[in-house]
Amino acid sequence: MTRLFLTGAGAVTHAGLGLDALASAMGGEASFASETPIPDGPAHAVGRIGRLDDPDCASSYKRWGQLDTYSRYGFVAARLAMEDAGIDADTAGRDRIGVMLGTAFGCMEENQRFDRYGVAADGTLKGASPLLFKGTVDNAPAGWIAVAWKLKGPNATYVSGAGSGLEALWGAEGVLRKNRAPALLVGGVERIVDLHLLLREADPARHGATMSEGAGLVLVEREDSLTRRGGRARAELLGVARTRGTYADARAAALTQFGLEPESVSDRFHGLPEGGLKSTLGESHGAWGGIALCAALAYLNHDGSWEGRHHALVHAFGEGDEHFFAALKTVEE
Amino acid sequence: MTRVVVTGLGMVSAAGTGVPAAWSKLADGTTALNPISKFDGALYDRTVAGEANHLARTDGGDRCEQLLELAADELIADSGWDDALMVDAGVVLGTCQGSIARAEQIHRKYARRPQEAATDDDKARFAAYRPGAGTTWLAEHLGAGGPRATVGMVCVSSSVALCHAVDLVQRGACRRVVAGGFEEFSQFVFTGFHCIGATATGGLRPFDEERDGTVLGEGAVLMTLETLEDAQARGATIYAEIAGGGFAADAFHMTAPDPEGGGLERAIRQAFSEAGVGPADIDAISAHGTGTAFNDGMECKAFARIFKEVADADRMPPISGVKSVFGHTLGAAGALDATMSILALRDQLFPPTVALETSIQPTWDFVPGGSKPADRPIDVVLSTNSAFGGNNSALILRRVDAS
Repeated sequence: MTRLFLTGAGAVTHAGLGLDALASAMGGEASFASETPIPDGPAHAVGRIGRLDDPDCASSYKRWGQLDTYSRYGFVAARLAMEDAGIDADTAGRDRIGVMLGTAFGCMEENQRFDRYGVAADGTLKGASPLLFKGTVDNAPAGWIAVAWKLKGPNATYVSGAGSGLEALWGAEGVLRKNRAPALLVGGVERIVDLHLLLREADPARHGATMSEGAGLVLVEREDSLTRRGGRARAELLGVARTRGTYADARAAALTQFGLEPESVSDRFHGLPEGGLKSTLGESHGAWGGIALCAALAYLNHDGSWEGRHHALVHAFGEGDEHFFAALKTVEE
Repeated sequence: MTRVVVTGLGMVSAAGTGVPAAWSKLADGTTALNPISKFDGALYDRTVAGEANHLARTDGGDRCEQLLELAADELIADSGWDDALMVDAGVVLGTCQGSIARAEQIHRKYARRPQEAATDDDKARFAAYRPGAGTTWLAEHLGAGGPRATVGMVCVSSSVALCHAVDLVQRGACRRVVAGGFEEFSQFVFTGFHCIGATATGGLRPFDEERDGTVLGEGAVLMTLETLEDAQARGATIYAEIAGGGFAADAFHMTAPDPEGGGLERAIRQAFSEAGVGPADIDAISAHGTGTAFNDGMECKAFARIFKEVADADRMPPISGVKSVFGHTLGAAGALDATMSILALRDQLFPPTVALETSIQPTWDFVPGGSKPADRPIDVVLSTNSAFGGNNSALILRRVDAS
């Protein structure tokens, strides 16, 4: 079976852009904004990025101005991951790379805007704009990324709730092991709109955590591709397990699947609402899996291992009582 | 590799409730398209849709749940799956906009009177609008305790969902899956398609020189998938094997396809590779056939390259565009097209392209009018779809007793 490696990472969170910002956030205090989505209404904490302007993307991609905010998060994370992996226009076989992303809420902001302007209060269609409509698809970020970098490989978007980012990684593992692409940009993207804060106070999918937005993408690459282009592996992806039950039971089942001993594995990158990264990074739903993968790589950059261990589990809640666990391993020089 | 087969079908469409109603309309070459009822089509100067008008819309009810429930009833009866089989079954669905109609009113209310947009009813409606909500609802309705996943890729959603479902079984994540797609007819999506100039002035006419756009429909289409070994062990009816699948990007434009069909060609070649077949093995093609100038032209270019040798040998497989009967059901389209392909395998009929008068490829057989009995065995069907975002998908469906 071919080995798979994470060879690049890009994160967009309310802590900033890139892995260094993520590393700083992991070691610091939570810094959530306070918003009141309705006049005189209650305040809500949120890990907010807002409209994202990225001078590098703006200067290198002529259609950057057309991108909705949801797509921008994914797009900038893709730029960072591609740069981190050393993939550029001259990289042989770049056009065979694919994109597989996850999101829980997808294009809800653009849907809201299109509903507001598309069919106006007076019943006319004067506000229905093709530019606005193209953002009303959940696969908009994956589409924009593919168009901008001419990535013609497999392209998919999962909208499976909080586990979507790791659902995408699970799917990507299958695609890569079948050799359908040399590498895939994989992860999650999420944009939080006011209506989420207003109407999802009691949503069990929040798991009690503060809502946040952003994107985390990694480049997952087959060993033969990595060797051919002489790239650098940040970590090895042993696989993605989907297991069920309580967190403890699901984790134990995942470890059995990977053949790992519990004491050899860092659990720092779990998706539980308390006692972990979500206390500072927030609950980014479909983006969580991708952001947690980036966090694991950021931690590895800094310390060379995960709390002295050479394996880490990145965890996200799936739908129902399902859990996703991605198993990472350090790479020997 | 574990072989995954289809052992049950269930659907609702503009043609009525049930697979027989849909197959009967298609086989007869009769369109099920009907006048727009959900809103005033005059605003758009359009009159036709593929609404499931035989089903009354319930006040405050969720149209997607209504469609899914009816399709599921038929599916369970057809598959013979009982509670014991369902308990660890996965559910994988595709949808474009899910229950968008639940959000339309909230969006407009919030835009104009935000302080009034936080009622308990709004919260309940908004919770059901999340893209994956239909999958969660169906899994709980069926008592399906296995993995749940939703694909949100517009018009390839349910064909990629079928690929994902096969993957779940082949990689051992579960032994059986309910898979398919659903879409409700909504003013939101209609407005969007209209503003990009993609809605037809009259009927939907795939591959016709006079085609001028698509007609949106609605429906829910479901299949039960399980291993061939399990299906044989329980003596199930085996409709077909999903022998291969592929999906690939155009990387060209967000709403217009690659005019050369490059992404579609890559998806088809992936599916061929996975199924271990080539162009000469394909007995029939179910094309996406939206009736738009760009899509149908792009598809023909991709097919022309892939099937050049067999076409030159005068063995080009017949091509069907079934949306002229059901309308374009978006997130359900891939599963609907695949279901019609499966029935073509079962009944050895080439499904028709209704409303075709002047073909854009006169040397190819698009089966105009009504269905056509097979003049040679139909053992392998290629079913293709394409979508906004530059997405393309392909499925290879094969008769089990032919392999």
